[in-house]
Amino acid sequence: MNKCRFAKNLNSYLDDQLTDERKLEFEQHLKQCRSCEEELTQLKLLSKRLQDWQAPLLGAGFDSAVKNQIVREELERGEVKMKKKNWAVLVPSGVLAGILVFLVVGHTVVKQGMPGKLSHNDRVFTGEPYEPYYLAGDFKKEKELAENLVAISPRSGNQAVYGGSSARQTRSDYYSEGASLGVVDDSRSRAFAKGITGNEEFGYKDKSDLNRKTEMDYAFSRGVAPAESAPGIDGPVIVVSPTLPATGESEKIIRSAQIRLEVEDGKATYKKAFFICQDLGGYLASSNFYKDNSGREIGQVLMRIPKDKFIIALDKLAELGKVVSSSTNSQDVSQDYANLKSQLDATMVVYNKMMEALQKKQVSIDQAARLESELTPVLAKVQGLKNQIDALNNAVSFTSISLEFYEAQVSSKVLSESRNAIQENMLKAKINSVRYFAELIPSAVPVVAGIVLLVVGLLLLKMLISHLFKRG
Amino acid sequence: MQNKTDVELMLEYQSGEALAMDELLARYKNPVYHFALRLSRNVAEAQDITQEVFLRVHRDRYFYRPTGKFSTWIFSIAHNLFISRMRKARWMVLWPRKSEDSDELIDVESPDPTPLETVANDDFNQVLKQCIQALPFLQREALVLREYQKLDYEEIARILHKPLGTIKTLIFRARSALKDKLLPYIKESKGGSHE
Repeated sequence: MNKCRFAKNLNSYLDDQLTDERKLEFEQHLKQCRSCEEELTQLKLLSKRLQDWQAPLLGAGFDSAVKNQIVREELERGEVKMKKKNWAVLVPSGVLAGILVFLVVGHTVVKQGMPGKLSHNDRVFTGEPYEPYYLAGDFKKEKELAENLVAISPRSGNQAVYGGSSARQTRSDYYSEGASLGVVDDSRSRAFAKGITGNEEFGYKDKSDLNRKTEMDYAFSRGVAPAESAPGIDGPVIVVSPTLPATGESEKIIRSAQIRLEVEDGKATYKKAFFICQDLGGYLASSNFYKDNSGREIGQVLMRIPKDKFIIALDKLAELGKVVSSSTNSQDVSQDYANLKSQLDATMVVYNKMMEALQKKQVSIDQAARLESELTPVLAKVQGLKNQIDALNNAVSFTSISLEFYEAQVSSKVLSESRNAIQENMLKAKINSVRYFAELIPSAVPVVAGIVLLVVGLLLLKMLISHLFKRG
Repeated sequence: MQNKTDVELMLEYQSGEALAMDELLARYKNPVYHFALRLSRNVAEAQDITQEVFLRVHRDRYFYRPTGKFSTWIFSIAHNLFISRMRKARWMVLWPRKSEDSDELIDVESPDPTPLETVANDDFNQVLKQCIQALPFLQREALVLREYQKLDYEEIARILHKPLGTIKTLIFRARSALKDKLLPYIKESKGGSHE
């Protein structure tokens, strides 16, 4: 037995597992220690002889046996089967499902039309959301009309878009009032309607169309449902021109619209509406944004849009969500404007004459003083008339659009919030159940231990009895 | 494929490249088989274990992490298989169900050498095998990994899940035991060869 203190390093040196420093030290020692040198020689010899045990190599069939086994295992687990299924079954079934969906969606679109998407030429405004006007009754009969006309619900026609000046009275109110007083006759209302909408230049194909429109317009103004109004739609329908009636320099028309949307995200809609208004060169007159008790976001925005961007604004706003209702309203103030203008002209004539008289050299001081005192109210009247004309011009050049929006009753946001709440509740329930079981452990351990002891005791008893019987 | 390292091949196999397994089989089937054969001395048992090792490589491919050498991982699988088989055999001794012959279950060595072994072995080899088989299992395993697989001590320590110092001790004791038993044969053989 080698008693040398370096003997423990022999194996590590042989296996080249020593650090360079310790290896050098050991080699120095080997030169001096005979026993270590001898043992190292023996170990080298042993190691060399150990290599004599040559094991046979594996046969060529081993690889395929392993791979077969792997494939068999995968088949048992269903991995390979699934792979085949992916291409062989899932692809054709996916294609079939796609065709089916395409057919169903296509059929729905053809039958109902695209919801919330209205073109310039067949824009339909009704009290019911997405109820196509021309599909409600005889399609062929109404199609011709629907191509060119815009239907407006009577309810919206009676709504005052904004209050304030008496000059901003809605047309329907004006006519109802006039008819009841017997002031406005049929010819005037017809002439008024004609004045608003023009005739051939607004796209009417023939006189009959124009007449029908005018009659419906007038019937509405009297609160009577026109006979030719769209069947299937509750209440009378007023029809105005299909496109924005061109308001010439002589025509003064105040336009307004109301649009009501059901949206997914209230806040996002509010922002988008603001940007639409800004992009079209308009401004927000007022806005209101709040959440109701169920957490739905609701908003009302009154925006002023330049008159030439009116239809564009309506189109863009309709794209923000599902259009629940939409209405437009027009008020012709040409007559008022003309009246104001003539009043101003007349007052200016008086004013000019008074000024001429005042500037004459023959006028005495008393006369001059009297003229000046009479001139002051005339000047005030001139200024007042000018202000009224400016206000009217402003109302005409900027249309008013009132946008109301609210989140759907079960919007995706509300759904996700509810889902989160349910998940939180489930997590709490899990934690509570774990706590409950943790509390049960101290009382359950003695019971389990008792059962185990009982079972062991019974087994021992059985062994003892069988042992005694064997002996017997 | 042939230019790639073991780790690269395993990572490819992990990502679904089935051809990587062919190369891994080509590189490691014989080392694993020899390791199993030297520990069990039973060709059928060794083949069975080798096949099981590669099946485990396949099954556990997603758990493989390239933190060390691939050889360490695969020999570690083989070691774990041996341990579980030994435990099973020990349990079977304590609770024999099928057979009353416990020796057959404890000792994985087959009683009769195969024809291949008979042809290949001479007297010294027979003694050598008997001496190696007589070693305790861990000493035998450490010695085989060092002498035949040429793994360094740290790798062996990782495979056997033992500290480095324990591995040194295991190898030292294994060699000492073999040296004591085989030295007369080695000297005889050396003397004979000189004569």
